[in-house]
Amino acid sequence: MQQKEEIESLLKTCETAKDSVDAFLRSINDFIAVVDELPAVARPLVRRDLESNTDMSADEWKAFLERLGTRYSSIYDATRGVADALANEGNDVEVAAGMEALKEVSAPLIEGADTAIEELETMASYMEGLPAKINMVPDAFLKAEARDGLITSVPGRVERARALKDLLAQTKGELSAVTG
Amino acid sequence: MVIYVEDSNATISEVLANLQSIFSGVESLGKAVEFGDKVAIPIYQFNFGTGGGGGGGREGRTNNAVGFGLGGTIGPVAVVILSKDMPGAEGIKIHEFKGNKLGEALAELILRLWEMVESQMGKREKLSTEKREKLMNI
Repeated sequence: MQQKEEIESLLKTCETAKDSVDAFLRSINDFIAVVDELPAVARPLVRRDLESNTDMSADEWKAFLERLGTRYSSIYDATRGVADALANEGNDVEVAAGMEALKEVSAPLIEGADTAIEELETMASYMEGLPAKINMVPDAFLKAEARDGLITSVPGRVERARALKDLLAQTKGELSAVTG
Repeated sequence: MVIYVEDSNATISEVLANLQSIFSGVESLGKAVEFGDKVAIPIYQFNFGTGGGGGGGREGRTNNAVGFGLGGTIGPVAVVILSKDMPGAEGIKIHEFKGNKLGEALAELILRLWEMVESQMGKREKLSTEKREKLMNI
């Protein structure tokens, strides 16, 4: 009974996390679009600033989030397989095979979760400090319109990064409980 | 680089002459950058230099040995500014950096300033290769 509840909880977490990944991915795509519109002098500086402060370029963030989204989809499918097997009351072979598949697809996420959590917090902190940094850039390099566009898009990204970070921690905990 | 040849003198001088004629002074267009109603296209120059020397083997050895080194620099030499709203030759302006090196210096200065600002703000610990791999394989 407890196993069924854990599996149901994991399914819900995966669904929420997948939505969270998609939301953060949209934020990164918006950021890339805003930076692409910046004046030629400011553009490489903003890109370089993100990379030197988070150790990943916007494109790398995008690639990482796309992979994370795919990983969550795979974990969701494998968890659904276990839930279906458990619903067939007593088919131990099917449950064991489902668990094995879940263990296999979730291993990279369990292994990389702590690093991803650290990086997401780094990103959230960077985004938090970004408005102040943007305001320090001289007007000659960044016009008021471009400056406002960059600053107003920041708060949502901080929340999304932290929400995803919490969901990753939750997923790791639930996966460890389910797969042992 | 060291090459062993039977008759070093003629071969190496031919090679060096050919390499220098191929690479020296090659100019290339950079990526165009749009700003407002203008497009800027940087022009880079590749300078290529070589040096070489050789010597005969000791008595009783058949081969001679020669060595040569290659070196090169790449730098912006000019920028072409095209005005979108001005057709014909009037809309094309070329600013050469060779005389005052202003453009080259400005680009370098901005990056240096940025590095100084970054160092003042404190560097964070770099992501290790192991951690990066974990992220990339998640």
